[in-house]
Amino acid sequence: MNNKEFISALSQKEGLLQRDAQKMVNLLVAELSAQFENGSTLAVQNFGQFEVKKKLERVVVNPSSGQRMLVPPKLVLNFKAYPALKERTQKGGEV
Amino acid sequence: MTDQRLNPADLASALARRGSLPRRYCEDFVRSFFDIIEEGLVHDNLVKIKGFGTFKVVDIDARESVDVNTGARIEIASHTKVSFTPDTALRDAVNKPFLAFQTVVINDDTDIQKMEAIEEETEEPQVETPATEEPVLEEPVTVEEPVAEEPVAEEPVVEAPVVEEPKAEAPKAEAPKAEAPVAEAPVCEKPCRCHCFWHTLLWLLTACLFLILGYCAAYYWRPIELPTFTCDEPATEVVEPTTTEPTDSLAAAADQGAATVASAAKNYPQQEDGDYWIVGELGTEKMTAGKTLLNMALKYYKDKKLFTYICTMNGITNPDIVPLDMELRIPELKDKKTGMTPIEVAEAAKNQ
Repeated sequence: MNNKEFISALSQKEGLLQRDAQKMVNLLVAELSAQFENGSTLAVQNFGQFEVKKKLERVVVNPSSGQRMLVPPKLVLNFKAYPALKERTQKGGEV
Repeated sequence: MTDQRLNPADLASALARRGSLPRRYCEDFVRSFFDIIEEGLVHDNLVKIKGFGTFKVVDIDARESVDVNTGARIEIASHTKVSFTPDTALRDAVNKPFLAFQTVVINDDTDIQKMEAIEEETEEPQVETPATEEPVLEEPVTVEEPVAEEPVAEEPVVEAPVVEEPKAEAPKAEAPKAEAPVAEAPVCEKPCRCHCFWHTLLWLLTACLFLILGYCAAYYWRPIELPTFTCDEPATEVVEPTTTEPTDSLAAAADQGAATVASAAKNYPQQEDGDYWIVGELGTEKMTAGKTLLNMALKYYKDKKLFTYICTMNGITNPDIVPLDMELRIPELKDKKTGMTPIEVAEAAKNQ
């Protein structure tokens, strides 16, 4: 399901025009982005949890050249599916 | 950093504030948003949302592992996992405080252990200063312009940028002995150089901005030529004429079929240069919000390019403007050569 199909499904469910549905999604994504920038965690029941995690800096070694690199620390958005969602995707995969 | 824990209701009210929309509606929308993602995951195993990211159901093979408590070997059964990869835009937005950092090559003669020792030493006073998350996150920014924000570098409070100094620059300069007193000196020297740098950067940025603005203006001032689709556009030609060389008997049958099809086609408006005749009606469909001609073509013919036939059938001249609640007649299509329906044509093409 790509973005277009997603928008189309959403618009049919909400009874919106596709254009408006896309606008709403953009708005929601902007809001989510702003929230995650602040380091908030979003937990959606029966779906999963979005969380911003901090990864520390680390030294990695290029195995072929033996060169050592310092990878900077970063903040990463993490998603963890709840058991309910896992179960349903599992079932969907079997069909 | 507001380390809040949000639920969909909070998100909905934030969305309502941002778009000044009714709250009830936003709640509904947020719920649908996640419902549809789930639906897509169950049916397609993949959902892509522009600007947000990609959800994927990933298969994980069975593998052997060791029970942590007993040490016995156990097998973890194969299962699926839901993965989420944020879009580049979102990823960068989340990582904004650290965006300035890049991976650096460490010189061979740099002694990491010594660096770590220095870090440990200098980290202690850092904890004593207001130890919220704030200063730690701001650091990367101040590394670039430690002076621009706080030119009073003599104050012992500003040890934070100095802490970063050995970490970021030591690899380049072979200065594992970059201890605090040594590192403090360059900090004091920097102000004028930094100012020059930032000035030139500012000028460059404004210049770029003007260039882009000029380009945009030129682009939009051109008379707008919307690509108007007309229904007799030969869009359908992309459907490959793969069935042109069937065996003899098949060809004969196909010719017969084509003949009957052609006679049936006289009763309906036709698209001159297309591959198909319109020979009947499959039914009607009401145009409601969320539906498009392309969707309908996909639903009935499994090929969205064939929407032009729906236009021809209903006398629509501009497929971008279809009135709401219009009853659309869905034409039944037969290939001009073989008399097959579009779905059969697609299957034949797939089999070849």
